[in-house]
Amino acid sequence: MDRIPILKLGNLLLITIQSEIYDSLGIKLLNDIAETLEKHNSKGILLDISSVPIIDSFMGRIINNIASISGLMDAQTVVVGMQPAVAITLVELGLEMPNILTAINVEHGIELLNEKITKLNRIDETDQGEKDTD
Amino acid sequence: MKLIKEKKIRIKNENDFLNGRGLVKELAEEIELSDLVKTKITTASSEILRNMLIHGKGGVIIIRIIEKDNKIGLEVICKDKGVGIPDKELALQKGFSTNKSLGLGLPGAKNLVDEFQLKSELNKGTVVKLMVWKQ
Repeated sequence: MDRIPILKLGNLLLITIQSEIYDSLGIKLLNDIAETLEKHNSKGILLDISSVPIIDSFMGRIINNIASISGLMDAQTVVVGMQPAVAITLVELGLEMPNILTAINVEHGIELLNEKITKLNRIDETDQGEKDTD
Repeated sequence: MKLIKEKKIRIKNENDFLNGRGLVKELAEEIELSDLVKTKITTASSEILRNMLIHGKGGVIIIRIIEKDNKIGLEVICKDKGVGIPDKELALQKGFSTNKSLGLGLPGAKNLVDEFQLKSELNKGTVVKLMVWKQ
């Protein structure tokens, strides 16, 4: 059975979708990501879709769900490399992706994730500091 | 109107769904549709094919290359013998769904193509016709 590989890169997970994606593969990916996040306590997900030629409403929903679920599990998601024709099609299809962070390529995606994670760590530390002085 | 090429696939499972969608893309490439129009017609077909599998228990997809008034176009017809759509106007409204989906399939597909036709009869089946023209 097909499966999309999830690579661990420090505290990030890197997922590159290289094949055409269909419903059952998308659902499997969503479950695999949730399990891998828990296993490695990862703080960020980089979803590279630069080789994906078609994203329909179902796949769009899977991507939205990946971001929502990872958010609940204390991880940020960045989607990288959406093809221009795919982006225009998604908008005309009426699919909204309000909570998705995007980057133009993997390099920028990693930078963005690291920035977000460092910022969140700082907020955590400040919170902790305030509690300590109480 | 002149029919240049026609391909037909029976859709019964996810594998057929992928083949059907792939064939739309293939014929779109054959007539050299722009990347955007190709993506739009393939995505619209994907939405209709999924509806066909969920609500129509499968069906058939017919993909045609057509010439009309010196223009080349791609027509995609999806036919099923499923339960049919009770209220077509409602089904074409964004956000309406009977299966917890986002309800973007039919209205979204309509938005993506140049011509859209929906015919449905209760308990007899549904026919959706999508058409895009080469610019």
